[in-house]
Amino acid sequence: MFWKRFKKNKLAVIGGILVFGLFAVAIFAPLLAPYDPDIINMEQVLQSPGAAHILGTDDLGRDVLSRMIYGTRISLSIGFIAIAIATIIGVILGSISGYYGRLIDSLIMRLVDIMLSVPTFFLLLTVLAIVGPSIWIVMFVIGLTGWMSIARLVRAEFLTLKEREFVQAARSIGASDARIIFRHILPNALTPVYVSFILGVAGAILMESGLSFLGFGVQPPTPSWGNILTAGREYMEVAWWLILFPGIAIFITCLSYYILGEGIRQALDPKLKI
Amino acid sequence: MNNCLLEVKNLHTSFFTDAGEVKAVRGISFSLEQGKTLGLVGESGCGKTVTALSIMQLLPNQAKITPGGSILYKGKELLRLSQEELRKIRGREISMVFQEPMTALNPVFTIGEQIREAIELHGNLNKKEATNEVIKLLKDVGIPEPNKRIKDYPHQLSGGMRQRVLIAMALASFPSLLIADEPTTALDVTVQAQILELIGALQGLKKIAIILITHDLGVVAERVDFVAVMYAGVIVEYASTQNLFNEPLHPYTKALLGSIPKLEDKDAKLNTLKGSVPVLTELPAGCIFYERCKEKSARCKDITPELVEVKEGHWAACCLYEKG
Amino acid sequence: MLNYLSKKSLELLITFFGITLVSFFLINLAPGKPTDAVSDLNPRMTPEIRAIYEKQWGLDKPVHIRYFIWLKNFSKFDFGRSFSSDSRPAWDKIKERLPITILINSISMFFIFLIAVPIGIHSAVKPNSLSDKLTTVGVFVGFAMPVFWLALILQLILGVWLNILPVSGIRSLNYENLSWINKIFDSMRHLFLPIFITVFGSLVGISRYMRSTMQEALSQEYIVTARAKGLPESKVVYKHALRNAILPIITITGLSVPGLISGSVIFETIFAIPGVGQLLYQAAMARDIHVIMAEVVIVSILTLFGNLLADIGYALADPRIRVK
Repeated sequence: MFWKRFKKNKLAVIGGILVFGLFAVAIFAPLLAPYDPDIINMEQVLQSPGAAHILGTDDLGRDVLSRMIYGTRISLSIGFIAIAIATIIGVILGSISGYYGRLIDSLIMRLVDIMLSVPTFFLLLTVLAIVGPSIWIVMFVIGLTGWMSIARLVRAEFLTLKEREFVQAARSIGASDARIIFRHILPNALTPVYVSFILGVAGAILMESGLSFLGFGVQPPTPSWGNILTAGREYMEVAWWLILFPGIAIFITCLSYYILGEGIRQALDPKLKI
Repeated sequence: MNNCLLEVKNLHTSFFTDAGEVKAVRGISFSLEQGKTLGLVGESGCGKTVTALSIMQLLPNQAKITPGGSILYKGKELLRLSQEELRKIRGREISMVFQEPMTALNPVFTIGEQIREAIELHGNLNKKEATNEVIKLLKDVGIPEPNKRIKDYPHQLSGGMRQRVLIAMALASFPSLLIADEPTTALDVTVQAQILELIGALQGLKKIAIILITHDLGVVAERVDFVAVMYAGVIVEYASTQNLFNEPLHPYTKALLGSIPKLEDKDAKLNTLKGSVPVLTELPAGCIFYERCKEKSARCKDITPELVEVKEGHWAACCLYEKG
Repeated sequence: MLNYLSKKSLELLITFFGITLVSFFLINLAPGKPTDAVSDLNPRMTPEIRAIYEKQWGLDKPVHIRYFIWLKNFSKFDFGRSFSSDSRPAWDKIKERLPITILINSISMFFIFLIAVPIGIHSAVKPNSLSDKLTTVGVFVGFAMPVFWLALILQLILGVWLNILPVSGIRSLNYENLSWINKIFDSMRHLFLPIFITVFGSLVGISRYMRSTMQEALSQEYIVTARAKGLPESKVVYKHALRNAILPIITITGLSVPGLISGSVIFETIFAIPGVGQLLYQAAMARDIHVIMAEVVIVSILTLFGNLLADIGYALADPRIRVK
């Protein structure tokens, strides 16, 4: 049923293929990249796109295409790991909140409100400014500031599921809370989580590129799409390709994730609201 | 057939869903004379509400009336009218009262505003006259202190009061036909009786025809002239109320009557109907009631019985009465 | 209604203290010290001088004591002095930058709703129409677009290549010499791109939301009631459905403030606009801890104030809260 409906959605299938393609690019980066992304060549500085360098070179003569191919690794892994962190936090807090209710629920939901009231970017910049940016810190803080919507979704599912017969039955035979939460309720509450995970990857990639763009994300010389853009900004009047291509890469990646996520949402449950 | 107000012939309505075509109404026909009342009875999901919405042509987007049927109202074919012409029929000629008074009223407008809208649509009254008319209508449906209540919002009223408001709204433009779709199901038992009495009283007062839709044969017993029993999208029995209750023909009607508790014999066992309505996407061949029928025979599996006139004015669709 | 609003205000107050608590401990417990920014770059920094610095900034006390000191000072709007060379009070630096950020975001908000609401209504009323499909595509494009990149591209094309718009700042160099009408025109030219980018960033989310609340409203039973009484479709949509669909939009207005202000950091940096976003960027670069903390708190107050306004708006618009 899921596959049948999913396959009918041409756009979503294209999104899925593109996402797979991006993973292939990330995995086979060393084979695909025409040059070493870190090799500085001062004789080839700011070359416009041409036969030798398809997407041109940057201010240090590095091949833009090669840097972008390696940048795929960074963007995808940050997107994935950051959202994995957010999902774990969100699922745990949402489950506890929805299952136990009462004071714990109010406390957790208040924390959600607090987190949603602080502009995320402010929090991110604050932490990164103090701790100092690194790939791991970036993943971690994006995860820490992105769990709230997942917690809400899981909580809502729990609120309805915990009243169901099978949960009452499990409780009546004396199953522990942990067992009820993880074995009985959670597997049934995950549908909206899958979708928000995939949509979240796109959000995290955008967030990382924004942070890298401001200089608080992945630090050079490690190539990420965001910091290629930043480096190019200084030269944008003479070397438009430095800002054009990384932006397109971010855009297409996020677009693929969104249409894939949307396709999965419609195939799973057209009424699902994320 | 001159004073025939509504004549439905061979009406088919289907829902088109992901799971396929759901034939909710599968060829029903009935007629109703001016000022008479008809009870449309059946379990939930048998197509009663879809029939009502088909007459009003207020079906949701995924539902379609299959061409070939006909709904004649005062001799006019409703299925061929434009949206604009239909709009003039709705409210003014045919109006409707819904099952859920909690959700059928718009929560953000006062009840006075919502009734006045209906009045202003169909009459040439200024605002003050219209407001007076609203107060009169509210008084008619038994709402105390109507001149205060018109400023109330739906959430300030009880379920019974809201249903009275909906009835007032439905009567605002003096329609000739009122369709009441399970008007009491969502209400408390004591309130149910009051609302049914009100509908009966208004029917006598305003001489309107009523189609009363319900799942409860007990509700229609003393209140309607004719009863049509529906099952899985078709009418299985049609008769005057008296005939139907005295001498039910179709096994389904008998089963329904058997499940009404009678006060006089307390010891009698309550016959409840076993099983459930067949899934309308995959209808079995033969009689649709076969699975649950107590009087089935071998040939019921193959023959789809037509509605035939068994006695004068008493119709049933069952192999027991098939000719030949 | 007063009950509702006082409950909401109390919630906001608790949220506010939560924010100060979370951000204070986050900033103060994170590895790395604000003095690092001064000491790392200063070859003459010795542990003794460092200790003097720390004492001067109160960093030698335990963190919970520092929080209470911070709270006490906060009540006087004293956020401490900036660590940067000008050493001005953090509040003074923020105060002079607030108006431009609020101005740009308010204008943007106005345009966002001006555009998003009609788009959302239209695609909800006519699902699968060309404009609905365009909206769906637009939503994907809008969500996937790195807004800062779009800003750079527009800056390059409109500002550098075509030279029709200024690329940065809020005033031209000769601003003081312009007539008042040219002053306004000059400001508009400078603000066009930042506002365009901000509107673009939030437009899709809001129009998608409007579409879904409108669809939700149109699927309610009171819509069937409204149609059943014969109201013209325009009234059904623009009066009955819209009035209900707009309620959640009021709440979203409040909730969209954090996103807008987050966006300010990026576009103020790109377009060199002297607002609080740019100041946060500079403070973060310099690890100017007092300014950062003050920024987070002030911006949170703005957000919560936006929420409060939205709550008041909601309470006024929804009779279920206004009238008890």
